[in-house]
Amino acid sequence: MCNNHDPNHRHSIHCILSPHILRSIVKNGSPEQRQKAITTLANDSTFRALRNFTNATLAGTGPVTMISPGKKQRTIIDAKNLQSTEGKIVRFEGDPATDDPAVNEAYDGLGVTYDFFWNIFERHSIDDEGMPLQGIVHFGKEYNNAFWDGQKMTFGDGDDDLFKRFTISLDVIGHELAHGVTEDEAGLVYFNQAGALNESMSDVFGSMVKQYKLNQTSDKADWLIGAELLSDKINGKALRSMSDPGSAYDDPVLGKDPQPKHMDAFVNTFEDNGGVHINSGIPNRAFYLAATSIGGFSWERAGKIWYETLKDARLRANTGFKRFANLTVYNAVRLFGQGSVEEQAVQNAWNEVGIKTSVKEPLQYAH
Amino acid sequence: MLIEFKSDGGIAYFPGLNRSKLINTDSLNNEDSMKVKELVQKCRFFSISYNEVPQRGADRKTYTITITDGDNKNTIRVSDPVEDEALAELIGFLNKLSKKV
Repeated sequence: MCNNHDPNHRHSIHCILSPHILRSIVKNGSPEQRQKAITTLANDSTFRALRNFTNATLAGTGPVTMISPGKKQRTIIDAKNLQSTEGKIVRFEGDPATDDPAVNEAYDGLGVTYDFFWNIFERHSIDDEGMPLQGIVHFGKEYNNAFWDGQKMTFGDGDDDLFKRFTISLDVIGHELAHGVTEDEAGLVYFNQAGALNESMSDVFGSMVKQYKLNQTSDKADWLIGAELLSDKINGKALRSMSDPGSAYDDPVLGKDPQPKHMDAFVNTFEDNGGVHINSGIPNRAFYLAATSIGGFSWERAGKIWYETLKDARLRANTGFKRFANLTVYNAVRLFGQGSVEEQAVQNAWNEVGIKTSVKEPLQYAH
Repeated sequence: MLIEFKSDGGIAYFPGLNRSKLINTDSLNNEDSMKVKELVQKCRFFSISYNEVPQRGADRKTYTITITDGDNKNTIRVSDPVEDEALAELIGFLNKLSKKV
């Protein structure tokens, strides 16, 4: 596009002018200048789109699509009990239900999670740009886990001894998809307090997805993560409790739920990426306290505050609990006003888990 | 053959499952002992090398395995998905065994 008549000559108007200057030329230039500027602008858009596409593809952020906002695109893949994220596509968007419960649960669970983010926050999938949702089921043999690999949500069948299939709990599906949202918005590093916040965001959104599906107000919710997942042999009720961290299980095989509910019991450890699934109990309980104190549906106010905080540009990749807490208070004030019920509820919630908040100090210096 | 097996990470932290387990094949029943030795051989454990930390994602499990058999000793660390099928099979079996020890 930069070549003029001489193949070695790069015409300045085609190369280094920014779009706003080109638009000015389109508006004020001579007919010839306008024609050249219009051509350049059109080409520039194409190349910018191409560059974005290439960057996204090279960065491994998943396929780029042109799906209309509000429309979801789900693909469920059967790994056939191999440890592979490739496999056979067994259900595509719009396909009827199959006779495989894991396939249907993954399809429906991803659908409800998409609907939640779209209907409540107007978020168009994981990246807010319509990223197709891919779920892998029957991953590995008797695999006791579910994970987010940066592009797909992967679910094991469980061993039926300790755990049932990992698609059985809607909040677990929401949890995994929310990891993608957090990665896209804040890129919270998966270590120490930032990692525990990353985990907590997934529990917060996972729990809200379940409450949304059940049309439950915050006082009616169980605030459990994975309540359907543990086998009957296990002495426990779920993977985690957001309302009472540390109380989810106490079992000879699994051990005792190690989650703290207060900063006094914060666990310093190199296990579990610095305790990301352990110390997440603290911000989990703060969200539970804020949501139940405000009342109504959790996503209407507490959830909105947490979501806006996740999108807040001041939420750095290495943000710790204190800074995150301050940002939730800041966003409560921004959304609902200084001295509002919501601001007070959020401040009190953090205070109750041992984190003093302040929006008076400049946030860029908060820890 | 001595096997030290540690599984870390996953969607939740379970103190009982995340503990490092020491498996001595001499203490296993004959069937389990034969099976684990066969899987170690099948995945060529003493000649593979993995020390991976995943760059993206969340809730993945990471496995650290050290096996000593006479003069042979090797340690690997690998995270989900374990695409080496023979190694994945060994890890699956060690997961099962570790519930018994």
